[in-house]
Amino acid sequence: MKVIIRATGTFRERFPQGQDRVVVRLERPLPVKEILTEKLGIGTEGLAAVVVDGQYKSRDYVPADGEEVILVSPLGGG
Amino acid sequence: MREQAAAKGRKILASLDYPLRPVEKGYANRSLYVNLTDRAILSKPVTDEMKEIFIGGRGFGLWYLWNAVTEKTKWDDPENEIVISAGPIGGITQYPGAGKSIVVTLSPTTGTVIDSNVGGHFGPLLKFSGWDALEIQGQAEKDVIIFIDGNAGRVTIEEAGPGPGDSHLIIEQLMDIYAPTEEDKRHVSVVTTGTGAEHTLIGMLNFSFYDLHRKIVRVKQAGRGGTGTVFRAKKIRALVVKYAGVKGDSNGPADKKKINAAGIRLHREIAALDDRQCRMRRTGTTYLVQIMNDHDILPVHNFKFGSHPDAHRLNDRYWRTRFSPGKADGCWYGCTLACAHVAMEHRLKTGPYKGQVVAVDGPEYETIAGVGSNCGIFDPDSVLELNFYCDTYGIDTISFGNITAFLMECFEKGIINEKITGGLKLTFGNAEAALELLHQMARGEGFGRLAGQGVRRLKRILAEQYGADAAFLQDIGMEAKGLEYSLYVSKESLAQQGGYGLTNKGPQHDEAWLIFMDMVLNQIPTFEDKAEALYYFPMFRTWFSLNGLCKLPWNDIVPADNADTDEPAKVPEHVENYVNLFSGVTGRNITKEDLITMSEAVYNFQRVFNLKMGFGTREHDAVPYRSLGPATVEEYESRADRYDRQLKELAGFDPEGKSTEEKLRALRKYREDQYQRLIDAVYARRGWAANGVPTLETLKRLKIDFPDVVALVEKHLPRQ
Ligand code: SF4
Repeated sequence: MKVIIRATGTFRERFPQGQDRVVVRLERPLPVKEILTEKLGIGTEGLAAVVVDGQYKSRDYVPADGEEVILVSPLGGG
Repeated sequence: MREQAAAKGRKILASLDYPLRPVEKGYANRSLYVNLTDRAILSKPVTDEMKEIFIGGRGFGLWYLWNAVTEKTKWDDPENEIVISAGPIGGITQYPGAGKSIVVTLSPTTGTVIDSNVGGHFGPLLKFSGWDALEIQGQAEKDVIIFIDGNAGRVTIEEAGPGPGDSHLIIEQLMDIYAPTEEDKRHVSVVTTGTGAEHTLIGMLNFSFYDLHRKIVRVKQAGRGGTGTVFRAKKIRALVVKYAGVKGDSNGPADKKKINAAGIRLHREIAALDDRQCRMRRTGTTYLVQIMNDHDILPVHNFKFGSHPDAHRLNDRYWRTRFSPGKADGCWYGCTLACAHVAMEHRLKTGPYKGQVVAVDGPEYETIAGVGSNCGIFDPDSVLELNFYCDTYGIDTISFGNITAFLMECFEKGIINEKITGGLKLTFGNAEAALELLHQMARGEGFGRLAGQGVRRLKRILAEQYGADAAFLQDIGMEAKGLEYSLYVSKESLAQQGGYGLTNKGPQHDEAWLIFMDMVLNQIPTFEDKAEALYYFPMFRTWFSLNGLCKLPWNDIVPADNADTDEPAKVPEHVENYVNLFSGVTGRNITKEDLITMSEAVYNFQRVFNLKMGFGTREHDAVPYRSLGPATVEEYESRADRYDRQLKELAGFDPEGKSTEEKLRALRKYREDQYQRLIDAVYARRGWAANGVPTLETLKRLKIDFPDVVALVEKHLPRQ
């Protein structure tokens, strides 16, 4: 299965240079937290929100095959 | 103090001695009224009803101003007031961002009431000196200084005498007089403006604080809506407050433990997470530049575009190298988010202070985007130079950036030319011309004098005097209600279009910033969702201005587990902190729902105030088309794929084989219709009639159904 992880704001800096989206291939479903720490080596500290299909999810959410998970960093807007 | 004034040959015109007493539960329980026409200085009681309904800060400002002006009052009439108030939480040192002052007055550019939230030490020192608000009415004959000595218990109106006209020099001079020793400097705050405020309608106010580490005076700005212009019309050179003795309990909190606990929680969070989040402590709000550019919402060339290949030159990586490092840059004691940075040793290349080396406060995101990217200027030194001169001249960088960008577009379109501008080649990216325009504004000369009138008046002037197409100017001139736009491109976010258009004072992001929720995360897809966001967030954010708080520590830093909460966008733990701060200070126990109701009362009162001044109805919530969509062929074609797709998928219009003009028209029709539908939904959610007037039920529910308010509203409500 594959899951798309997208980063916004300052969280993008934790992704490979110039990318805001990575496709992660998984053998079995995993919570967002584990996908980030174990598959991508990215810490979740400082994450403001996780959004899937316009809805908030916790870091324990287990994405389904093909789902896009958006990682939101704090962003106040001036 | 009499001696100090006399020593400088300064005549005391009037004085008031008042009894000193401590602040209790966030309130000094009286306000200072100063009339510059008849030189009356009075102490006015702050009533329980005022505290209950208007809370403080902006609420007190609106209430005093409402009682001071009639529907005929203009901004430069003596009865207009400038009210400055910090609010009950303002002045605590335990929680970050608690030293804001809120300025309220009738605006020269909008004609109605404006509020502006500003850092610096004035508001808290004013309160600890014994005053919840300073209410200034009347007009002096000659320049005056109002001096409040909070330790001696004395207020004086003093003749200012000869002296410099620009902020950095006025502050330098006054600090020498009122804070002659190094020890004194931290106890003094000055409010002043500059020559630009005198000669334009976009004057702002500088509020000072002393930077103990660098041993320099720093300033923060009450930028929006021309507060500085009103200040100069009243012939005020400066306000000075002096109060020695700020302590952790100066605000007289009802339950100090409660506010300590909230403070410690946030200080820890900032220490642990800021480096991994927005890095406010290192580069302030400049982190937004790159993100806005990446998401195509950084204003470029008068909001035509949302990104530019050179934007990286102005991003936080650069400012990291340019800001003076290693100091705690809080604009009030205890603000560990500390975003008020300074660029030291800028050598000025232009203007009256050319060759001098100065420290420049900021720039913040809004200034970088305003005088930088929106004007096509990507050279950081030019941004610093513009920032310095705007500040010392007392000119709002947001309005200046919009005006200049608008004129640059007019110049490039041939609507104005060098003959009209007096030789200024106002093309995008021409920093030299932008600076010269600014210097002219400050001198009140040449084309700068015209430009200083603001975008709304310029639209009219260019149409009437130079035959420009008024409809086109309306489309591209980025102002609504007479206030220039703050710096986010809202074209792709309907919610943000409302976030700007459906504001009380005009398009300033401090009411609602919904672009990401709406456009990037697609979390508020329906009209009802958007209306709910345009109900909750403006009310929530209004609350900061009632209490003397800074918005940034709310959501430019969030707790480690914020993502796991029910409503991460609201930052629930911080909302809980605010509830605890309010009850901890005032002793009034509230819930998070009360917090919204408190704001709603003041927010609706301000809407009715607009009504009183001849605005406040649906037609005044109209916005320039460029804030809704592409206004020109050039803009459409720059993002043609996006717009073609939207036409097909959303508007039911097949773009195949159509000219750009046809597609522009079809998209415009669709987007304007969406905006009207949004207005309907928001009005309904806010408890307003279809013409934008709060209903009588709403007034009653919020306990603002005062007889004069009801009478006014009844006149404007649609007939049943
Ligand atoms: S976050 Fe920045 S602007 Fe807000 S109070 Fe702190 S230093 Fe001042």
